[in-house]
Amino acid sequence: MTHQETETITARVQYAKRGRLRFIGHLDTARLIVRAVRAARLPARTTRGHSPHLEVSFGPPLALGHTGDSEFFDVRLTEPVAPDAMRAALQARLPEGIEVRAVELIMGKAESLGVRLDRADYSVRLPAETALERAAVERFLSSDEVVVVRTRGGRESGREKRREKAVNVRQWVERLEVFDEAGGGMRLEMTIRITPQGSANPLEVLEALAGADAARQPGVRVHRIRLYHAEGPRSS
Amino acid sequence: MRPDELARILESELLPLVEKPGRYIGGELNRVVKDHAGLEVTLALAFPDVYEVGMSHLGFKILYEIVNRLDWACAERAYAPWPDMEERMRERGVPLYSLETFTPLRDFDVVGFSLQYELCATNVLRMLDAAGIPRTSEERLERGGPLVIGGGPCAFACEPVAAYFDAVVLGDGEGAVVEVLDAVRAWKRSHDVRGDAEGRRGLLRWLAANVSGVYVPQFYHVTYTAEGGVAAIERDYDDVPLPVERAIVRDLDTAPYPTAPVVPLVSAVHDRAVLEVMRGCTRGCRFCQAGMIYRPVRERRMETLMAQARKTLRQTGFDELSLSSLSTGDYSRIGELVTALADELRADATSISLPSLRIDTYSVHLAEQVARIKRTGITFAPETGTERLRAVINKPVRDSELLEAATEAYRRGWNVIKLYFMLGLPTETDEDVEAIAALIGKVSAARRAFDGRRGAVNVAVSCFVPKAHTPFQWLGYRPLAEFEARIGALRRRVRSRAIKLRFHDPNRSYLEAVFSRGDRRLAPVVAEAVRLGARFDDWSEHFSFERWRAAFDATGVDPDSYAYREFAPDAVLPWEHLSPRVDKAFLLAELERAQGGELTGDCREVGCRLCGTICDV
Repeated sequence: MTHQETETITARVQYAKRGRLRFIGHLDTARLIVRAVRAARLPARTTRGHSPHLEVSFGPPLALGHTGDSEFFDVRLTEPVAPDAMRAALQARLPEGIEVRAVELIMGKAESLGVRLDRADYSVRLPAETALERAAVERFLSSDEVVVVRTRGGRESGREKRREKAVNVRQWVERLEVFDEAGGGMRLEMTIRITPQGSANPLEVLEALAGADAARQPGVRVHRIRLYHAEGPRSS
Repeated sequence: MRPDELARILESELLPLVEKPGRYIGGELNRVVKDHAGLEVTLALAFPDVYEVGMSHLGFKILYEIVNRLDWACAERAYAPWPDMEERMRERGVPLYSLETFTPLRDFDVVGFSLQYELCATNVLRMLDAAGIPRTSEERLERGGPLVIGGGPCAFACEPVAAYFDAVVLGDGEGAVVEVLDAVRAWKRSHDVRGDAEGRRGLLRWLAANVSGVYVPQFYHVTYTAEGGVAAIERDYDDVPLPVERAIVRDLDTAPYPTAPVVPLVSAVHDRAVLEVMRGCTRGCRFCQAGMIYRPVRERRMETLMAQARKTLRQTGFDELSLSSLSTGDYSRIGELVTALADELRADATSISLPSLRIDTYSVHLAEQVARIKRTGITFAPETGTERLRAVINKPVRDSELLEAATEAYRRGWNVIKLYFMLGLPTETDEDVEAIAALIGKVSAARRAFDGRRGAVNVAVSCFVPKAHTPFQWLGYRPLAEFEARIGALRRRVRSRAIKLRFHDPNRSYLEAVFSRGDRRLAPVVAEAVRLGARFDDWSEHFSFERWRAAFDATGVDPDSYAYREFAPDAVLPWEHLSPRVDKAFLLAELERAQGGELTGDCREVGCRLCGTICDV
């Protein structure tokens, strides 16, 4: 719809979200990234119309409280930029906790991040006091359906009513392993599918394994190790 | 509690469990972190509201910038924790801390509160409690602690909370903050100003005597009349000022301005870059406290503003720039400024907002210039329904001007017009209220003229509170029953679905009237309200009128006597000793003119009206 006359240039940016910055949600993260793109004076394209904005798009949201090593956003550019220069310019305008790891320029049509990324690997560290039976993992993997109640809305999200919905989280879990940690406690690793119809939060998987209280403990640490495409060569 | 220990507990135990934990982590772009070991004075800027509100406040950004430019001092930030966080901090024994270094507030030399609205007093007490700082100046003399200093617009009527402050700064903070911190620095070398009562009092006395705008409540004594009014306000020492006169920055153009403000991590109420195009307003609307206490008008040069706009946007990446002042439409080069900014900012879709425009077609023209980038709302404030009552409040807007502006706005593509009105103005009658309904209807109908449809109108109606240092300061708040009746009348008369009416809660305004016109005898009421659970009283979800009623009952204070009180012209006003440098004689003359329905022109147009301020007119 815009700039049809020129070739599309996309800068695909890989970044990590770490430390205290895990305490801001996806929308706030997106906002600060868009501000960094603006402040860095990158030749980003803007949409036309009544509410013009920069053409920046984001990969699958990382939940509030979770860290990630390999997250992505795309910036549509009006002209090519040197990836290293772009990386440095963005980094200078981002708060501590967001690390720009790589910038890749894609000339011509770029598959959207939503299509590109359909798998996520997570690690979930459990505090020492959490009792998780290995048999629960076996039971989970051998079932076709494991239902947890998902709560949406409520005051903080700005919506009036909290809505509850039963979802089968098993359908999205491709891999689930449990390890003992050296310093006590356990660690789960899992691969979760991200589909247009939905996906699972790793804490929902933990809830299915050890109960809602275990999933709500403040000591549980969720880390998204990588986002990738199951078949594509461009996995990261 | 050591900062690293505090941070560890926050991260591992508290933040995973609270709403919007991003409010409590600091680490924003452009924040300034200094090692306290190399500093002589530390200041915590404490905002008595939640992060998203406090981060939108320009005054604190200015002070943060100025203090952090000093190599011997730092300014760090703290906001009121939301109730869920406040409770968890208390349970876990985590004290209120600064976002820059996670230093407990009680370990700072100075804690500075901004007093933006009267009812924030409950949050001030809660923040002191959460920090483990004794509440009153008197207790701090005995037990030690940081110097607790207040500022902001409510400083000019701060008597109800005076007991909780060691000092209150009246007026512009730019110069005062450096003078105060410099004095603390000098006194610290030879005295223990935190722990030793003598050192502390000595420093406060020095500040009162030497720094323009500094009010130290404990050096003034108030006596009361048998009827409940103030009999006299006297000072304890000849070298402290009476009245205390406000600090004024004469040259705003060269005053420091934050072009690299801290960018909030959690979406703030106003997530945008701010240009302060000027300070003060000479329109002289008689209800408006800001128009009196920020005199005279001081503009920044257009070149300065353009440079500040570029720098701020580059340092923050905001996609919106707001031209802020009490009356931006009155900036002398507003047309040129808006055109130049719009031309420059269009390229990367940075929108411009003009929050305070006059009511005329020229304003619509200005709004359209910025709408070519991004269309935002358009707002007019006729305040009341009749030209008669507008003469009383000295805001001479003709109905025809409003309707022309509205017609032009609809014609230029705005679908919604926002209007501001007030109920309860002096001399208001039922006819004036009926006229509000009629005027709203005419604005909506203005759209018919060119496309036959009724225009959408969003109307916000507030309740007039007579404020200190205005011509209406001698008058009382209108009876609550009258507000209820007039709100009901307005609702009945405005029936169109194109019109949305929103009313400010008259109970909340009643309390605002009590505290903005009150004296020192209200201090225990605030403490009692906090004990009963009051906090975030500016948030309707937390405000409880019943709780405040109970607090008045428990302390034996009659709120009606404060809200409805009328002062005789020769009465001693509770804020008599606090001077914004506007003469009482001028205010009284303005009250008389108001009662006669006489207009007073803008002094920039008709010459000096002898208000008494320091200016160049």
